[in-house]
Amino acid sequence: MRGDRRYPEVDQAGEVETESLHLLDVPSLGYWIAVVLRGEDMRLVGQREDRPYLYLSRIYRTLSTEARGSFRDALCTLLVELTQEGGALSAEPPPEELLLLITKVFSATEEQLRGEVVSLLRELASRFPARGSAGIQHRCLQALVSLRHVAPPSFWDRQLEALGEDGLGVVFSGLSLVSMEAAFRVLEDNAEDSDVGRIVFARLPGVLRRSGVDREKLAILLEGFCACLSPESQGDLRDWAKVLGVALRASPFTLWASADLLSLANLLGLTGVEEGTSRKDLLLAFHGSLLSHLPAEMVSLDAGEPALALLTACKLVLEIGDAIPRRLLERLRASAESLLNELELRSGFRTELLVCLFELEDIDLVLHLKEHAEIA
Amino acid sequence: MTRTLEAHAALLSEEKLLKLRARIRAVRSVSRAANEMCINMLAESRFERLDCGLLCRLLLTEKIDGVAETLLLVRRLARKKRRQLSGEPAVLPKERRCFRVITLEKMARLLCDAGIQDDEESARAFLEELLGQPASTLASGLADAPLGRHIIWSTFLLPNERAWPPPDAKAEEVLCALGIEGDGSPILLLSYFLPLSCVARLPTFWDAYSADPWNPFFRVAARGEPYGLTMQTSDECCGAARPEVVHEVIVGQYLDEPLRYLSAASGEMEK
Repeated sequence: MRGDRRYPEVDQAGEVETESLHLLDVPSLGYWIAVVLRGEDMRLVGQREDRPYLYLSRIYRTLSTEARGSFRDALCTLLVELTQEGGALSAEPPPEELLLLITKVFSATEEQLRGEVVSLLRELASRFPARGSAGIQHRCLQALVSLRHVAPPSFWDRQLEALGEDGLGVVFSGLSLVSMEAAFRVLEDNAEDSDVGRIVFARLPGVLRRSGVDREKLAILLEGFCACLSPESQGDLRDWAKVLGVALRASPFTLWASADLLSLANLLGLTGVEEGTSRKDLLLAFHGSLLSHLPAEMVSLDAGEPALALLTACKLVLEIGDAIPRRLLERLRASAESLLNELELRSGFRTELLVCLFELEDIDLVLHLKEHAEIA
Repeated sequence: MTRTLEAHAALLSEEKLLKLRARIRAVRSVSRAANEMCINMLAESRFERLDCGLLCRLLLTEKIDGVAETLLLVRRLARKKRRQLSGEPAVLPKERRCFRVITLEKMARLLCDAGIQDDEESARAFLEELLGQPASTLASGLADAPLGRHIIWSTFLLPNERAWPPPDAKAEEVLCALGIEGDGSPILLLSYFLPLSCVARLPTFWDAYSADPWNPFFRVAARGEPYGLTMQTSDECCGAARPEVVHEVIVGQYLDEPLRYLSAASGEMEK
């Protein structure tokens, strides 16, 4: 117990009497909030909510403007104590419930009132990093996202470093408030180790709901992001984006990757393609059309995507080995080389593209030797 | 070996027995939920000897300050016991098609707790977008989402049933049949296949009273029953009581029907 604290009155039905809350000073109010969050005010049999923070947020809404101010002050004091003592306070509220209550209360208040809370949350997140989605750090970051706090990307980078893979989702949400490009980039950088497709799937409605999101720009970013997913995840995300009203352009390369050859043929204006046509047959039969499509596609795409498109093309060339038409091979190699020179590619792409180039060189050598052998 | 509290109390001295009965009477008078808790406490036959001892001590001790504290301690004890479901395995048809209802708000909070969403508003938006989507999209979107918090209460399709709830069922009828008092919040119906690795069990006293707040509409199943039965919220409820089981929390990858709201009054399912 911390000194002489007063409690609010509770009526016969086990509901707190709001009027008596108005009479409490801030320390008493804070103490009572902590007791309720711990589920230890045994007089509150009228509580209907399944979580203490929900009960208190309902009570908060019934208070006068002045009493709400005291309530917020009390929450700030509890948060300061949590920040100072590291969430291991024996007589204090469970950090998770406190953070959820703070989110509820302060997300409904004016921006200027949130300033101090946001600073405390940032400090708390940085001081008590813990892996996993249940830690204080994770809850603080969720609170910051709920409060629409725009933190610099470096802040989110540090949080991700501390949280690891479990923090990708919340870091994506946090970064999306700053820069959608940065948000997608962090997922693409971690695509090898995590199911980043699912993270975007779940967060997309939230991202769209936030004001200022340009759907066309989002569609372009999603297009680029899709390429780092498995064909199955790509398909799921494309369908989901369609449901949410984000029209992704069908890219010949993603259609190729997802083995949707009929749609690919349709997109490229190729006729005579039937169900069951293999990738190899399609490429061999229509390489002229594909070839003419490739440069156009590259011109129309933004900086990140030519490499992606080219990489996909190189991979499919490698897949069919020495059956590749020589002209297409040369064009691909030239494009890849110019891309490597002209664009600042992200390191992952660059490496993969280089590997493909080396492999293409090998194929070229094979073809060259074969030609000589035939002449001989 | 399990027993009833009454069988255990019979071994107490006359004085203690009288005190215990007086205490139970006092607890019963507090509220409907407290009254039902006492009825179930006396009806439960699955208590271990240690459980009975704890409950008796809790009811008899002088250290407890009032009935409200007794109720709080019962809940705390139940929460400790909840960690391992103790009811007998229920007999489920081989299809293992299960259903549960949950408010949109609660489901949104589950997603935030699991780190799948970051704020409740976005979580609600996500769930609303998922309404009516094919089961494959739903299972993909909620693949890692827990469908409950600590344990899951569920009803299931009986062998003679083809579907549940009936297409024309209203939300209040469904809730009544399940023994849930609605408060007008939008209610989601989750339909899923219970994986074979997850054992459905008869709900026990501990399962029911670990909740906060307590649901007054619950009755423990008698020993030997194949599954529990819900306690309807009203005698005028037009739907029959449903089979009732509890099981460990499973994730959304097992959802097998589109997510939908139970309709409030029109009798039609939304979206």
